[in-house]
Amino acid sequence: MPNILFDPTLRGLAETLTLTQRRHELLTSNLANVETPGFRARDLDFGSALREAFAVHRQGELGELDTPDEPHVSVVEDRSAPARADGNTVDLDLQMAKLTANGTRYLALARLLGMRIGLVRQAIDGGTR
Amino acid sequence: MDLNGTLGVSATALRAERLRLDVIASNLANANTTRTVEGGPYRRRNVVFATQALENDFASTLEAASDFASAPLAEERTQQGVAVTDVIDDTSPPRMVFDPGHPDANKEGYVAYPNVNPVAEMVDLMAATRAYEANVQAVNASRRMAEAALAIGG
Repeated sequence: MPNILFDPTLRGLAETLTLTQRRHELLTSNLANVETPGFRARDLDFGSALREAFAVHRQGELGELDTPDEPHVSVVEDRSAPARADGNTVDLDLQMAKLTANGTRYLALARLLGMRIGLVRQAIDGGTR
Repeated sequence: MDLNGTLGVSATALRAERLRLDVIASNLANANTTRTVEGGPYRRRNVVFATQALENDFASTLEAASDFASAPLAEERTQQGVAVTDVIDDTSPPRMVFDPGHPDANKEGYVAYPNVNPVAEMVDLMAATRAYEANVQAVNASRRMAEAALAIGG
């Protein structure tokens, strides 16, 4: 019988939320070092990180063993902007755009996760509330 | 790592940029200062930025205080703050202005004024302000995300 409380949707949302937060950490670090000479901008390879996170869970289901390990974070160098004269590759506008997009995605995912939990709660209550 | 750590990273940047603004303000204020404690005209000063790993966070403190080595805490640090490691003097020569009546004029009648270029300082000022604002935006984004995360179960 499938686990209703922790189904793939809920797990997927939680993993994506975690990875979005990781990406936010990287983007914040980039912005903090916008004037640091020689700093290379970094980003998260979101696609492969998410694939990896789901693979860990799929393995967990097959082996009847949940693996609580945090997924390996694939941090890559952000090569979308050329290096300045001081060797810094942080493009302020680009990083701000990424930060905003990533933050909005986080808010959307958090809302979705809340709705999903609300559905489970409604099922538990039997719709009496 | 968590959103608190992210706020810490942004805070290091805000502090560094504000120190940079302090130094720029000092340069502009002393653009015409011909006497200093060290003697001679004021020398333009410049900050040196370097990345700084966030060592003093909760996770590493807990790790140091406890015996168990847990994998998530030992993972690669994704967060890097910034710190002003040094404030150095600009060694370029002073601006020589012919003004024989000035009390600090040399034998030829030239006065050594600070090597401060107000235009360059203003450009630096704008860059520092924009970098500061960008990090304030990052703080706001982190705060909104933390609020959204807290509201998930509600």
